Amino acid sequence: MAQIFGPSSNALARTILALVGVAAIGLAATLNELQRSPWVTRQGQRPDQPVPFSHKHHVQGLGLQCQYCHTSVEKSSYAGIPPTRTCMNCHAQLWTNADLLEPVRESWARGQSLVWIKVHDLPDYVYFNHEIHVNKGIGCASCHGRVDQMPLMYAQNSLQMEWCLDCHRDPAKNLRPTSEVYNMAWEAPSLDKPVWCAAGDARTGTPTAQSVSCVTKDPKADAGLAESELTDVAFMDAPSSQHLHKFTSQDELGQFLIHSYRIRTPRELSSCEVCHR
Amino acid sequence: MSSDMHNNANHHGAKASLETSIAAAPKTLAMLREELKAVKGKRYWRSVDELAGTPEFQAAVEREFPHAVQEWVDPVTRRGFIKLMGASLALAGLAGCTKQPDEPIYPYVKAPEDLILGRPNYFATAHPFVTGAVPLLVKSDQFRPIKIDGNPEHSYNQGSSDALTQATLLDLYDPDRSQHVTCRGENREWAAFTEELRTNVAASKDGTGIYFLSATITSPTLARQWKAVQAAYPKATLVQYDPAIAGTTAEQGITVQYDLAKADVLVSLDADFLSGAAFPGFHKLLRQYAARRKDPATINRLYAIESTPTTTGMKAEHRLGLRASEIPAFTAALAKAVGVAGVDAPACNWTPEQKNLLAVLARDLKAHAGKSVVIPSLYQDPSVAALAQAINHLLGNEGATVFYVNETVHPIPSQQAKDMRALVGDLNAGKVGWLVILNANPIYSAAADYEFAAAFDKAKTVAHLGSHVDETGQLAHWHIPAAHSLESWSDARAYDGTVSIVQPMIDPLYGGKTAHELLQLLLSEPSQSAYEAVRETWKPILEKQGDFEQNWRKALHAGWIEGTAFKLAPASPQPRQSRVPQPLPKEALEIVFRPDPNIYDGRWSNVGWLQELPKPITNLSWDNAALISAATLTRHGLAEDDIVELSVNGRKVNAPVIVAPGQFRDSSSGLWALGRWSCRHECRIQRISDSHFNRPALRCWCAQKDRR
Repeated sequence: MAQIFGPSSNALARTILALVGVAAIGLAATLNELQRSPWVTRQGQRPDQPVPFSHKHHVQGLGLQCQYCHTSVEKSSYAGIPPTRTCMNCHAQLWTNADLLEPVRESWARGQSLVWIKVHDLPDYVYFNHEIHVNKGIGCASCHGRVDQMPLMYAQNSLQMEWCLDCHRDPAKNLRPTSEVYNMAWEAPSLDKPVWCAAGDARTGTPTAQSVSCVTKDPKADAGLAESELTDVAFMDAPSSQHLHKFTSQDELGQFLIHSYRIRTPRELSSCEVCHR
Repeated sequence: MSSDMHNNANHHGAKASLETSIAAAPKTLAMLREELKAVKGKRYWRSVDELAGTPEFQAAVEREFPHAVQEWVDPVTRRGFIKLMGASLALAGLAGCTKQPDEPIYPYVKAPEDLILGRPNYFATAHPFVTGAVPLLVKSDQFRPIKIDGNPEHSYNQGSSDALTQATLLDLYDPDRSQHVTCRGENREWAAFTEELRTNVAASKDGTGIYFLSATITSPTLARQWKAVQAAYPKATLVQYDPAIAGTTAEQGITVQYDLAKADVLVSLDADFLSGAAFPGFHKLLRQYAARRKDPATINRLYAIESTPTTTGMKAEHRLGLRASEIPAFTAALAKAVGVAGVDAPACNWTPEQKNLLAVLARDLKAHAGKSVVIPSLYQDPSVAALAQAINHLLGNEGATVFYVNETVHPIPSQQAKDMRALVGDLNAGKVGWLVILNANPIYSAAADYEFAAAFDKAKTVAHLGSHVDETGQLAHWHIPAAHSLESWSDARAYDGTVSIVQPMIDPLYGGKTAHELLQLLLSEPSQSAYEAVRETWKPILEKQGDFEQNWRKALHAGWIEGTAFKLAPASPQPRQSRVPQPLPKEALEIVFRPDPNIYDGRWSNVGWLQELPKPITNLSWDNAALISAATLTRHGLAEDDIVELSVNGRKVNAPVIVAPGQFRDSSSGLWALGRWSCRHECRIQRISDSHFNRPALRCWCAQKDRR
């Protein structure tokens, strides 16, 4: 009886084995990429909304403050989507006949919600709290991007776990003074653009964010003092215990704010139960 | 069914268990006694089975652990399982790779002023209950109540609540609640009912033939409305009936208040004041009792004389199990020993142990005159309460640990048992034209000896206001869905008399109506809402304290109206003299019925939280049983879980028996209130096992017999 497998079978078998290996790796790589792709994460996608609301127009053009609409961002886990009434505060008088605003007027007249599509949608098993981020010096733009330059809202970031952990493992790189949280154009301090901060006494019971004051303009220049006197000079209108520190890099500022705002250690921040409760 | 308990056996407790805790098998009584003789100090056990070390119990413990799980030991099952599930298991991780669907956001059109989304609001209200309202602080998320707790600023309960109160939250969201006004099973409009009721009542001119059967009225506003109805229709009749208190010393309201803060020696005469809100003043009594025990220097001493094992008995330093019929005689003997004059104590052959406790107790009470308290049961013969009052009076406890009040939490005190009997008489005599049942379920809960169900059909028209289409709702001509107490405006008084406004946490989920709205239909302003009615009641009182609107808001915010607590009466009322009954003969088996510690009189039998909650001592859940002592078990040749037929005066009921450690011999206790047949959960249990105690109780059973 002739052999079933000839000598060439060995080569064939090896090739198939190799191809299976390559296919498995390829599949894994594809799935990995797919999982991170905007198709899955919706990063950068602009869903159809009932009204093509432009953050660019309202924030950059008109200068509305974030909290005019997102009222509970400092007080609650949920930043808040404005009620129709907030729209009507202005649009009862402005653009009263604009076709684009018809859904708003209809919502107001009928008493039925405008139904928006969630752009920043975390899975339900993730606990996220706006309040703590905003009050500890994470700016809106750090997560949401330059909303003031978005004619239509989209997610700047993937909101995936690796993205959250990237910051939770090293919060210093994104921290800014709480006075700058709503500043869309905030830039990290550099040699050209330093930041001056003073930490108040660590009085018990004082909200941490309020015991730190920062300025981006040279306080000495304002006070008419010479450049050489810059370091460790008391604020002119602050208690003498407050000393100005000049920061010229994000890392320095971040470390200072971690200390002043009493931000927990990366080990604690990246613990599972922080987000999965 | 297991009869679990946790015996924190002190000296006396161990002795008691030695007598009464006997397992059915396999050890004999004598063996167990021998074994326990060697036990010194504390020994903890969860059930009689564990104490006896039965193989069944060992097997049950084994099964708790996964190594014994049957499916994984059987090779065929495991292989088959893996084969079938292999692909699913392999692909399970892929489920995480799916895209999330688009999620809509529905913002408000006009946002409410005080709401920060994501943050709860808290509102003060109260849970009206027959033994006194429980002041509450309700946590509410987006105006949906999500958690009930006691009002921490209220002087009565200081933040504490109880299982029954907490579980009313689940009752609110019960999907089985009735949702429509119905007439003979067909949906109708509320307006159709109001029209019908008003026309018929008006046609009666003076209210002849118009009867109201209500759960005990606890709302001063409802009482005011009833008085107005009565003024307009003098012949209309109100019957209040709550099975848990009808015919007891509590039916006309409790006029005695205890203050355990100054009590060194506490005596419970079958009074289970540490178990739950079924005992008036539970929240305060429990707090004061426990506060004294934190520091060894202030520790109090509790004696419990009881007929069925309760939490109070288990907490007591000295517990004496007696048959319920012996407790009046024992109380009389105690009163005599303490020195109360003119006590006619029935002759009784007390055992040496009982005699000893009697002597010790009398001595201890006399030594702590003015610093002791004797608390009688609600469910005992009236002589027990009268004798307890006499003992407290003699010892000078009045004004120190015992106080009396002239008012009660029941604004219209009535003799419920007598009134109910009269109602059944009127029904049978054909005098009842309209019977309006308010928040009660008498077909289920009226004691069987009233023969209420048989008389029920003789009413020309019956309207039932209730939260569920229950036994009564199914038979009534009209059914009106009732608003839950978390959905309605009302008012109620706590144990100390302080008035709380009951304010709604949410609009009625199913368009429920309140008794206020129903009674208001018969008055000159028939469309006045419950809100307006409650405001009208308290306007005179709040106006006296200043601006009405401001004080009204203050009362709502705080959860009570200032200055409404009962005035403590200067002197004790005249003790009601009553003959002390002779105990039943020793050979007679007696039965005691108590409200269920979890579902009370059955009103919460559709609340899973309470059904799931193990009952104290027995650890029974979802079920009911006759509790008997091991001695009785042996004497009648029974084993645990056997079904027995119990009969009293010709009425019979089948029930499984379980051994309750501490149950006195020749005595059996049953809980009311299980075995409701219109209740979804109960039906499920019946299919599983026929051994279910499927009748509410002997007291109630015959009423249901022909409807099953």
